[in-house]
Amino acid sequence: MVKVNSLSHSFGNNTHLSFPDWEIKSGEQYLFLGNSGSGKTTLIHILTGLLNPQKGKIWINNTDIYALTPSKLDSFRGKNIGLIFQQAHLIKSLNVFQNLSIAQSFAGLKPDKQRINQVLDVLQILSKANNYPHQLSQGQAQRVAIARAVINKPALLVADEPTSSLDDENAEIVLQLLKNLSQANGSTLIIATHDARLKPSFTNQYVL
Amino acid sequence: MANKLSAFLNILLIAFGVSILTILLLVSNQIQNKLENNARGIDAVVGAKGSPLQLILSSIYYIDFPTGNIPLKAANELAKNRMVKLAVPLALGDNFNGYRIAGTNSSFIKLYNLKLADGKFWDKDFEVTLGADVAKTQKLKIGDIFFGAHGLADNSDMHKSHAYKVAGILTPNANVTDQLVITNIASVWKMHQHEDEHEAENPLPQSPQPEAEITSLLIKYKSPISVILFPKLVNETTNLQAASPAIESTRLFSLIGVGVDTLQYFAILIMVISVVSVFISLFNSLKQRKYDLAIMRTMGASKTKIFLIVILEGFFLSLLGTLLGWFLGHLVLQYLGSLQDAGQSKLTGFIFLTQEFYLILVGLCTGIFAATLPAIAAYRVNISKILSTN
Repeated sequence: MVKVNSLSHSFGNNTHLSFPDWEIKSGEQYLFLGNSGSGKTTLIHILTGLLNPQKGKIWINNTDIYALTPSKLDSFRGKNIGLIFQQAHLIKSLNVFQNLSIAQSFAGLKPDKQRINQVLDVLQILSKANNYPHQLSQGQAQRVAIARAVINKPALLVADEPTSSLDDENAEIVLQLLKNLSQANGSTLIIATHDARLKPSFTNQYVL
Repeated sequence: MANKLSAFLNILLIAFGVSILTILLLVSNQIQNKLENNARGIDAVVGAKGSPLQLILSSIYYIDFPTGNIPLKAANELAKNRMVKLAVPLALGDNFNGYRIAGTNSSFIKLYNLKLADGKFWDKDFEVTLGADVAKTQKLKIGDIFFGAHGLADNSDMHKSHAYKVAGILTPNANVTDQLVITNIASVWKMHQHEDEHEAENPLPQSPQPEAEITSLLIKYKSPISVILFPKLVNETTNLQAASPAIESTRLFSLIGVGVDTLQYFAILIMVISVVSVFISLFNSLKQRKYDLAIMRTMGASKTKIFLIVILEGFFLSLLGTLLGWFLGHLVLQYLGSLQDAGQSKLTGFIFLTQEFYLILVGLCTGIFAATLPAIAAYRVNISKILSTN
């Protein structure tokens, strides 16, 4: 499902990063561990088609994603990859419902109101559908961000430090949501973190 | 746009520029039309010496005071000149609620191609035929009587001794005749003779009966050759002057034109400022929203889509601004028109020109133009870098 092949990338300021090969089967759930500065975010960006690596290849669903034209890559990402960040990063001028429906339209899919309501219901934020981001608590905003990432049933769900800014209780809730949702949608899950609290929950680990 | 206030200010700025340009366009177009319509068929105006522009303004457009009077005898001699096809005498001096009362003869009908909506043309003394606007605004109908007032605008000095009687009403003519009260010359004379007798309480030794006078003579030539010859003849051989509406209108319009040009530059300056302002605020909001745009990219939006989103934002700003400005322009002009004196043909905001279409197009382009650079910046955004700088 995901294949990382002899990948390396360097930045202008003499940082050279090379990544061990990595192969993930469909539906597997991986914890991606690495200290800050180890290149975790760089690999996440390369994996999700946001940063073109200098060497090596990324295969997702048998597609060499950096062989695609930039606009094809954008639409591939929209349809196949769901991204969750440490911060929710919702679009402030849109309400919760609109934040999700815009994710459908950017992916080139038809607006599906039922799907949005279903996902919001599962995440127990259906009552917040008409609220704007500034009216949400941090935990609620993070759940909307998760809803946005899974709305298009992506083949690959990638979360970058999703629990770092949450307390133990909320971190556990978010973790379970991610695991359950990816299972329900048949998504492959990668959680990148330096958060040791998550370690016990995963058998598959990739360490940088 | 993140900042509603700056969006509002930008819209307002564009609206101001567009509305000023709209007003200028409408006003200069309407003035030019009116100048042309009113002077149609009149090749020269003969009147007392003075400013030729003033003579034209008073005798063709009925806006300024006449230069003075001319002896009827001299006027009649000129009218018989073989270069003259049609000579229309005018006797001005009174008004009715701001509408000028013009004494003339039946050749006036021919000159302006007047048609009756009701009643008949003026014939006997103190019979008048009203222009369409006069009848409408003063609510006069056939058989009504009213008093004229001395002077060309105000009502203070009424001629109570003689009343005018409405004999007919003209069809709208889209020129100055819509705002005239037309009667025969004798009525104008009698009105004033009577007044003189009345006022002279201790008469001085009577001078011989004063010569009959008129205000001016509107001339139509038999052939275009006379354009040079006739004015020369009048100006050199008589005490009168001949002025050409074509020349004076052009002169007048070039005088107004200076003002129009200045305002035009002013409006263009406002438009330029609004372009810069839209540009700055889009660029600023781009800084705040870089993250939003990057997130949109992660959701599958292509670079082109992000580019279009920013352009669209500029477009909507200018769309709102332009439509608002266009609407305001018409509204303000209509209001200005309603403030004008009754006796003059009014400016109206309810006329739409094809040039306005281009104006709207230009207005829309300002926003798109201002948004181009920010849109390119958004297009080039490095998502990975932005998402990393948390």
